[in-house]
Amino acid sequence: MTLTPEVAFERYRERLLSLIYLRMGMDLRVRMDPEDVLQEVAIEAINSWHTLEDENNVGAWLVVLARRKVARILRDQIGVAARDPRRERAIKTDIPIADRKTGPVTTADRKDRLVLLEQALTRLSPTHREVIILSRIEDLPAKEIGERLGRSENAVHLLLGRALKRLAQELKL
Amino acid sequence: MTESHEDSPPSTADSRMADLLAESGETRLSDVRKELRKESSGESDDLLSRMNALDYLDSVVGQVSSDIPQRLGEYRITGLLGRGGMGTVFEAFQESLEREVALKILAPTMTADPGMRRRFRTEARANAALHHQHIVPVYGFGEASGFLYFTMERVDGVSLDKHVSAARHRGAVAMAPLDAARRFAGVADALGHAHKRGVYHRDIKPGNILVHPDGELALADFGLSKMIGDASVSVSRAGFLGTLHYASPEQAKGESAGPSSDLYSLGVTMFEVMTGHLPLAGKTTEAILQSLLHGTPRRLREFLPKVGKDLDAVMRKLLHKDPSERYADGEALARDLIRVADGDPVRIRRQSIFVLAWRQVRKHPALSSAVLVAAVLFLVSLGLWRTNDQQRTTTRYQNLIAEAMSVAEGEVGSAAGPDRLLESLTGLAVRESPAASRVLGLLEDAARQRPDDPQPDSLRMSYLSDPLPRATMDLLRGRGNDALILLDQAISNLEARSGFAGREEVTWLELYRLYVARAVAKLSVTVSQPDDASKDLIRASLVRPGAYFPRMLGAFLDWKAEEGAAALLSQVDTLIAEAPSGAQDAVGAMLLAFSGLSRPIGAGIMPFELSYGQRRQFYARATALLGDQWTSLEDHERQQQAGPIEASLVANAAGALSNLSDRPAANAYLQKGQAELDALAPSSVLHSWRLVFALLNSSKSVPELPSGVAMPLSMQMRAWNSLLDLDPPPSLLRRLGSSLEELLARAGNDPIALEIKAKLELRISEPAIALQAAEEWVQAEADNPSAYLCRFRCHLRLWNLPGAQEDAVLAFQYAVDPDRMRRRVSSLMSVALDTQAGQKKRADWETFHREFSEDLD
Repeated sequence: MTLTPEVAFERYRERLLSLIYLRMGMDLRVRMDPEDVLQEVAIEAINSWHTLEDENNVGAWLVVLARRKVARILRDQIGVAARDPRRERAIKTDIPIADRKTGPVTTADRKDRLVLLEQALTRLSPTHREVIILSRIEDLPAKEIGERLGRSENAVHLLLGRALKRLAQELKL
Repeated sequence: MTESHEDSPPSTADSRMADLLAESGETRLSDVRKELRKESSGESDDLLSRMNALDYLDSVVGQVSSDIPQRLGEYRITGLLGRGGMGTVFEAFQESLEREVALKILAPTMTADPGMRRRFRTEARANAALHHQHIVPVYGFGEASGFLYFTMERVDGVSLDKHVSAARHRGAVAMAPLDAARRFAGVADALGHAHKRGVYHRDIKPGNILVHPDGELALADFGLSKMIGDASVSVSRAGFLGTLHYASPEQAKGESAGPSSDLYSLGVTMFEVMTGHLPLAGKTTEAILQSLLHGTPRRLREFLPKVGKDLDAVMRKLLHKDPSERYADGEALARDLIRVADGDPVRIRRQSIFVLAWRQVRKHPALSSAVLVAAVLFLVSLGLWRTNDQQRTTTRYQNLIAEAMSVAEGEVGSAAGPDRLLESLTGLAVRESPAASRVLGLLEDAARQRPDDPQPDSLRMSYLSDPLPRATMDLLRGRGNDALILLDQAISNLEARSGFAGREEVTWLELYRLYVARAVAKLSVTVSQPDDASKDLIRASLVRPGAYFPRMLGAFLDWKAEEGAAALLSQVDTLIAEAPSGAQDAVGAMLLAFSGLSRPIGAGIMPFELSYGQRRQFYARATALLGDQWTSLEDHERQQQAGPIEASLVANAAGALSNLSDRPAANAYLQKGQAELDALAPSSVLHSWRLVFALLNSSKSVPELPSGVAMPLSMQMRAWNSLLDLDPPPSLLRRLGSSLEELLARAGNDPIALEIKAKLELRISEPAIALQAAEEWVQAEADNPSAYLCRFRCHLRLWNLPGAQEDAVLAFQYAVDPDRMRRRVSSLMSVALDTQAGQKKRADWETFHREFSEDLD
């Protein structure tokens, strides 16, 4: 059976939501619910499904759609194309924070974790933040990340390893 | 921040981690972890914490498997059953009663609002009171760990939508017609049961109907899903899509939906189950909405030619647009469905079919004669047709009204309607639509058919007049904010005056106009709101589905940021292909506005900037479309570029400028200009003219803006640019020079500063100095034709033939409008060659000059 956009989207739903959440940043999120943005990405995926060339790339393809959608909203809402919302001030939240341990998580945990993660990410250096988002959230291969950051593949792994160390410190893991 | 940390030499832990990441064998990492624990050193702890960070990240990113909560209240979660837009359904075990249940957790975004929680509880209680064989029983509901959830019977089966899509894959249908009739009879009866108890489902669709292993159907999610939907769904257009196919017309209009609305959705579901198709097609939200509100549902017999007349009639009654024409209750439908299944005749009120035929005629005036014949034959077969004169007159009258409205929908606007709005947006007046006289003619004919009926006359008035002339005036004067307030008020008044059902054509027409006007207002406010404007355009389209203007304007707002200008241009073809007469002008005017040649609305609406190359493309399309219309625009070139208000400011400034020696006359102009400025909205960019008038008054201080803040640099630049374009005498410029120098020093190397400097030097300095300034401008803006034109003028003053030639060609190449540029170059040259100095050079320049002049002919 061929892959349908609905199935593909469902498979990547959480990943896309995290991506959208982190890429949107606090300023934008107060104006718009990431879930709504996700919906819009879903619609776009359905509408432009025919442009997907290889089903094996569907994850990357969806990530590109989501990234563009957020960029577009940023432009619409804030009117500044180049601004990176994650460089804004740290986030205030009144969501109670569950646990700080790893392990199996519930959806509620994940929401908390997303908030915590974002707080931790804002305290990292921009490069560390970017390499984490590109590799773990956007799921790009090291080669591509290297091209974006102007580093070799090896350097990307090294950078990611160090970024993880800093993240672990921030999360007190 | 530890930036330095990033590039320090790697520690052994760094290298080991990098190697692990490079191998990226996720399964291996757990082995590594064990090893590391054994190792138990500073380095291994470091690596372990990095891996924990990795786990943490992956837990946030979320695989489905890690998404299942362990327990909620007394329910132990045992598995995942399904996942939908509004929540996730789990398989769970209720420990107190030791039974398996289905547990639905509502998406967290839905549950933040306390009002929503209250409604959820009310609905859940009402649901728990329903006991019917064909309703999945709700056991309970609760809140735990911040989740709202409810539990229901764990049905050992799958939802109907799976059956439908599986059948579609096989190229078959989910149920044979008579089988469907029998099985859905139970569901219809269940609906009747619920409706009697005041519980509405509101979201009937195949996904909410479960199929038991024995084939019996059961309705799930009574009221709950839609209640959740209300909060998020109606807000975003996109979110609507999921269930829009099954929504009733009255739901789509946002009206409260009663029992017959559920019946309609059940009808759509049955239709799909029996045919594999939906009765109303549509790929986009708008398309679905339009066909929902104005299209005619397809007949069951289109897909199933052999289906009995009775079932066909039942389905048509079920899918009737008018709720009052549908079944009165679920029980009545159930009875008819059972009769169909048993082969007994069904008694459907004949009048509804009669009405249906009328509607057909009204909706499709173009097809009217064919449909009419069919309708007459049909009615004759029913023995209902009476050949009576009064009846024939009625038909003719109805047709005329319908046709008039259809022509009115097709055109861009009328003299009073969208045309004026287009003018306010683009600064271009579009010639009167030829369709207008046709509409009026048809209405006149209709009035002759029924001299006593006030409808044609009131339609005519409404067609010719603007429902809110003050708002239109405000828009034309650039006061979008004021217009928006007026329009909001008018629209809510009109919407409140009567429900959607039973409105007169006149009200619809008025509402349509107001929606369109409000869309334009939303684009004209200080910070334009294209997304909101789009919503109004959709509303307008819903009210008048054939209307062209909202569709056209919508297309201009609906660019895809990535593709930008190219996407916009490619849409134009489609727009023109669908365009009725007169609409080409509107598309042309919009393109011209977007190209930046007329009033630059594009700047506020488009997220991308057009390059000069793209402007050229836009302009070329615009002129091709505008044709003759363009010539008349060119006569008022300056006026049209600036828009009506700025044109008047320009005229007053020019008046003052030409009377500089006659102080009282100049002052009169300045005062007039000042009065116009005072009438402007406080946020208007046109307040830059305050500085122009101050400069013309030889005042060196920069005036404040009405809001009390200092005029920003960009506006001051705009003012200077406007002044220089008026070609003021060098003496005035020299007098004002010092304040300009100050400004330019602050602006640095901004291209506009360079432009102003170049234009200034051209007027007051030696040609060599002017050339240098022009050079800098060209360097900064290599694709701006005006920069080349400026350098051309310097070369002209220096009598440097090759330089002038080169710049003329460049200016021509980059020009948005090459013809106009050629004229400008030629006229500048004529003026120069007519001077004394020019006479001597004439022989050398002859060929060049002739070339340019000749090309014009």
